Amino acid sequence: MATDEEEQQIRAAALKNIEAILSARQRAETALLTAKLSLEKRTDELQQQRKWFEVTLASIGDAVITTDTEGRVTFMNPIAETLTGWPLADAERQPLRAVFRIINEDTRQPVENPIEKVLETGQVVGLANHTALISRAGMEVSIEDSAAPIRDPDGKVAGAVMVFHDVSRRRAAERALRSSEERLSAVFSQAALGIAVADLDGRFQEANFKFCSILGYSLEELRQHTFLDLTYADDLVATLAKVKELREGKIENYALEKRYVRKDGSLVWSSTTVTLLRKGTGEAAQFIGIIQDITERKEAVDTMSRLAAVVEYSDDAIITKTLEGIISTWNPGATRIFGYTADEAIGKPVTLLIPPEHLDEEPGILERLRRGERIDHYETVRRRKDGTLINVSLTVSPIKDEHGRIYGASKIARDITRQKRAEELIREQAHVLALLDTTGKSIASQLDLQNVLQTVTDTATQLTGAKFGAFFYNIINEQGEAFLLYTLSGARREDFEKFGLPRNTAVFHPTFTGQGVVRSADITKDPRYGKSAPHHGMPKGHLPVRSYLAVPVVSRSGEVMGGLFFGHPDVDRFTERAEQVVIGVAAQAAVAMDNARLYEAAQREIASRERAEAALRETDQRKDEFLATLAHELRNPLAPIRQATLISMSADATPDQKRWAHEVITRQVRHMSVLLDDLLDISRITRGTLELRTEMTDIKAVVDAAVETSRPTIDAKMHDFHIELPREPVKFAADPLRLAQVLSNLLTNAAKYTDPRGRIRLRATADADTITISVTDTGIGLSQEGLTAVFRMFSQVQSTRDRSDGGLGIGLALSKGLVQLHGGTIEASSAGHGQGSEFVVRIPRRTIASAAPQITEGTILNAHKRRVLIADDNRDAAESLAMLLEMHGHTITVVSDGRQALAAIESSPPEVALLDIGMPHIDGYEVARRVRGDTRTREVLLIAVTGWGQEQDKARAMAAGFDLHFTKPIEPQQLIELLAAELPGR
Amino acid sequence: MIPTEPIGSIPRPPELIDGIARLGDGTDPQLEPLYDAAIKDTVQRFECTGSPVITDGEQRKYHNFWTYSVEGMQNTAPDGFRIPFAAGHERRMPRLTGGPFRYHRYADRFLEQAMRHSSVPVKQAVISPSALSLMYPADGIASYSREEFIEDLVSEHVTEVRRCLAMGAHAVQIDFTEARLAIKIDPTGALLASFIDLNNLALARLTPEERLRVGVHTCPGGDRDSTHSADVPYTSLLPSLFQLNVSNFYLSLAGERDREGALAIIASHLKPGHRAFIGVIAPIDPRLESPEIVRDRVIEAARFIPLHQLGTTDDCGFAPFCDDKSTSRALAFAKIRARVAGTALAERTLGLA
Repeated sequence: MATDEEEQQIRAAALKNIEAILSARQRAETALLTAKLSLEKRTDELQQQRKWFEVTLASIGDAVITTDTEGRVTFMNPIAETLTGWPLADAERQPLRAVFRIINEDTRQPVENPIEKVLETGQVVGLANHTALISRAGMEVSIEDSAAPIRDPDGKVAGAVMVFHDVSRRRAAERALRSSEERLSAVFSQAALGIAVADLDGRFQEANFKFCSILGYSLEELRQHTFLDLTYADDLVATLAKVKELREGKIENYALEKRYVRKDGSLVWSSTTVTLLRKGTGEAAQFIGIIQDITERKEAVDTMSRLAAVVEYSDDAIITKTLEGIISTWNPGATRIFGYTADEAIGKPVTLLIPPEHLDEEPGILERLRRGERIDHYETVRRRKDGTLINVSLTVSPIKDEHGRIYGASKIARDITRQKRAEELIREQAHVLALLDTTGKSIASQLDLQNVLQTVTDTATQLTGAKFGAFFYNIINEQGEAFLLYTLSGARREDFEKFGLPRNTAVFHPTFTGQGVVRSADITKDPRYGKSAPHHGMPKGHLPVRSYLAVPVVSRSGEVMGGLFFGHPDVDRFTERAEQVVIGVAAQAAVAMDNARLYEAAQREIASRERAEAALRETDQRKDEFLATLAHELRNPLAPIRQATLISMSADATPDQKRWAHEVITRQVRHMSVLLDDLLDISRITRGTLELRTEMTDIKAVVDAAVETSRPTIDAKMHDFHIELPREPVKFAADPLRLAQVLSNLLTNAAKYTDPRGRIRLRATADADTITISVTDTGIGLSQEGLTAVFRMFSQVQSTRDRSDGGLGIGLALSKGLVQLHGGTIEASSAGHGQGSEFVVRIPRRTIASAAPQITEGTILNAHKRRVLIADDNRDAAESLAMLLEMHGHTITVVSDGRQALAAIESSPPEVALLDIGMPHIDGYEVARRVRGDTRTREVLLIAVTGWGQEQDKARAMAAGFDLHFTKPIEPQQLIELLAAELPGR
Repeated sequence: MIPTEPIGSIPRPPELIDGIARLGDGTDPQLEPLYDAAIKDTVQRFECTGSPVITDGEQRKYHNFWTYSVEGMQNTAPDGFRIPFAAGHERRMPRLTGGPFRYHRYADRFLEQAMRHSSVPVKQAVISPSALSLMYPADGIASYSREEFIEDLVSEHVTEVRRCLAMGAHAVQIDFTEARLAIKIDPTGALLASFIDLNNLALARLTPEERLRVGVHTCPGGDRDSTHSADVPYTSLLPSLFQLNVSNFYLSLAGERDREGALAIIASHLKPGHRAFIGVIAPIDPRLESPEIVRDRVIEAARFIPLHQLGTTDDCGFAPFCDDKSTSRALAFAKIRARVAGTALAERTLGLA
């Protein structure tokens, strides 16, 4: 609790403060009063000022609007009222943006109200460009405006004032000025002419785009040069002279066609106009130059000159005409082509040149020209002054004036008569070539000669335009050259056939001999015509021929194969071209004929080969049949032999039985021997190794020998057998055994193939050259096929086989071979089955100087007795041979292998050793070599006995040391004779 | 809508109080962390009350709401006036010993620190020129006239108010608790009139716009749950109080014995543009008001005061002096929450919400 004293102190202090506070309050009130008075005074002044301002604002040209801090209108002067359309009474307190609506003139977008910016920032907002005020009535006024803050005495923003004025006129003027400047600038910069300003030294200061582009420099580059720098040297003197006159005031300007050097070094022709600008004082100031690129014009002039020369000297007619078709110009080429001079043609209608049948072309051409169309290479016919027609190619172009209006046409006419002719020829040639091609293909694809020649004849007739054509093929007859009509075209065959074959007359001769072409415009006037009998020209009734063309057809080998002949009743119808065409056709025909011939030859060869192959197949078939037959025939004798052998060896057998058995064996062995002999003979004949033992032989002896052999068969069938021989002995050179073999074969066949009691005839005749022996029978006969088949190897007539009593079917083949070895022939004939047969043998009747030594029975009897070694592992063969030789007095040693053979030879060398080759232990070759290698045995006569009879087998044996080589089975007689004779010396 | 605002002070946290007591000087730099923590906590808890406007609880005002701006001035002596309180304790003012008079600190520094932590508007309370005018000794200062002092005092006050406004204060509240004291000292009313003159001298220097955010608070002078001038009848104070050239009046009422009489006087003197924030919470009453009580007090006031001129507040700060422990921080915030809730209830009752 404060004490009273303290409260008194507080009170005292506080009360003393009251005075000070009161004093302060009084001072403040005084100051406030003073301020109030001052304010009132100031308010009065402001009111006066406001009135003054209002009057002033009402009288100034600018519009003024003031707002409070809220942006509401507080004042507008009359101009503002007018421009905004708002009376102050309406506008007061309205937001300014409602009264003062502004947009950007260019963008048409509302723009920020300057007052708002002023109130926001307190800053003065300057004039805005491109502002338009939209009045209350919607009118648009271009204005410039500015706004500033209104500040109270404390500096605070109390409102804003905006001042603006109508600048529509100025804006319009500015736009006009800007537009004008832009246009001027555009004119300068985009002028079609180059414009440049240069100082008095000629240095460029300004230049428009065109000027720069003409000279190829940029403006900056250009400013580094004077116009004299860029003037072409040849034009410098003239330029300097003009500049001098200009500088001296002698001329106001000058114009010059001169060249400038472009930046790239090329020259540009210009039409240059230079003016010297002077100041007001008359002092020279600047050059202004205007240039135009006239290079094209200059070149055009050159081109025009060249074109004029072209027109002047052109081979083509170059004509101009009006759209009415009146000729207006005419060049020398036109005179040359059409024959009219320029004076004759100009002013005349162009129909002067058009033949009546083409007059309808011109209206169409003129119509197209009026439409501005160009007619290119229009091919038509025009008429020359002399009335002749010429083929022309027209190119017609409209001619336009500088406004593009068509006022005439230029026509270029080219004489294409020769070209047309050439084209025609080419077409014809193409046609001919096509025909030739077709012909060539046609005849190349054909191999039938008749077709080929017909095609050739037809084509050539067509190509030549002949009335008719013919192809005669060469045939050489016995009388010389004559010709066979082969093919015809355009005429009937009977028109020619009645005249027979053409003959080798003077007219035809060059053709048939291949000497060359005969082409006559009128053959009846030809000196060669009518010189040959009997017709002395064309026979009566012959197709009329005046134009004549004949071309020989000669093969690649030079042989004249025939001739192509063409005729026409009119004269001079065959041209040189026709001749050339026919020559071409003839060449193709020759090739085709060669081909056809070759084809035919090839066909023949193929047929022959096919026949040979068929025969071979047939032979193979026969061989198969033969082998079957051979096996049968070889087996047949074995059964009786085996049975007879058993009988003869039987102790119970009677002597008659044994004799019968021996006869059977002998007969069967003989039969087998015959078979084997035939086989060997046929083999030898086939291989050419059969040698005839030719001697002078009597025909009777031969026939007798044959009959002796065949008699059993003939008698067995009780045939009526008759022999007819020459009465006188007939001697001739022959192998009597072989010839007898032939006749025996014929007789045996006749007996076999004739029914019992038939008739068989053998007839032998002889003349100076030939011995003829025929055997006829009344047997089964032969078909035509059989007549040729019977002589083939292994052949037995099928139909006769059943009737045969065996045989290999090689008899007649063997017979034929033997006859042929004698140089003779053998033929068969028959009237057919059941009509009997006849076989005729013809042997040339020859003689020989000395016959071979005759081996007689006496010779054999006086023979040497030899020591003989027989070595063979086939003991039967060896021992039977030994027995046979022993019967002839020889001393025989038999061994069965090579070792024994060597041992026997070494122990007691024989005179002759017969060595089998294929022996056990040591073969015959080795034995021979060892025998030959041993001095004690080398003189032994070594004879190889082998089943291998080829030449190489013989050669091998000789090489081993053998002296002789016998092929199994050994012919015993041959061996006997050998041993009997003197042995070959060793 | 009825606006509601606090007066200002909130009891300091015990650790801060202890720290100040321990160091013996509220300006010791060692206290900075405690001050920071106290301000941050106060702002957060203040916001939790739902109060649309808060203060920093005057956590940094040392040593109290009256002398904070001159504490530490060199030209003062501690033997100034003692201010007597009903509870028997007293507070002594510094005595000015020489010129010129310059604040040692302005309240905007407190505001700045509070606004760093706040997400709601912050108001700032400053001391009135009339309160500080008592620093000048009765016998004067030879080299510094009383007139000079008055001029400097007014100038410093205006400076402080403007600095706070410039800082963003939601409102600046001038604590004029010496009004009743003036009547107590000088029942003739001359001193009170002088105080009002002095304050108006200062307020006159503010612009009207500034004055719209300036108010004045008067109360019996609560401290440690007692007053220095509660015995002075409100009726003799209020007519003069409304002479002050401000817009807002923060008037203690909850603790008044004749609230209706006071409300009638307030209503009769309230001018257009004035708003009367009437006290609906009695900080010195240890009982927590319920929102309904607050509501009823608002409705009661609304019977006298037009709603558009009515606001609610606390009767006084909860701890005008830094060492005041008589009210807990929890109770203070609970009472504030009751003011906010009760005002809202009243709004609904009055059909305003």
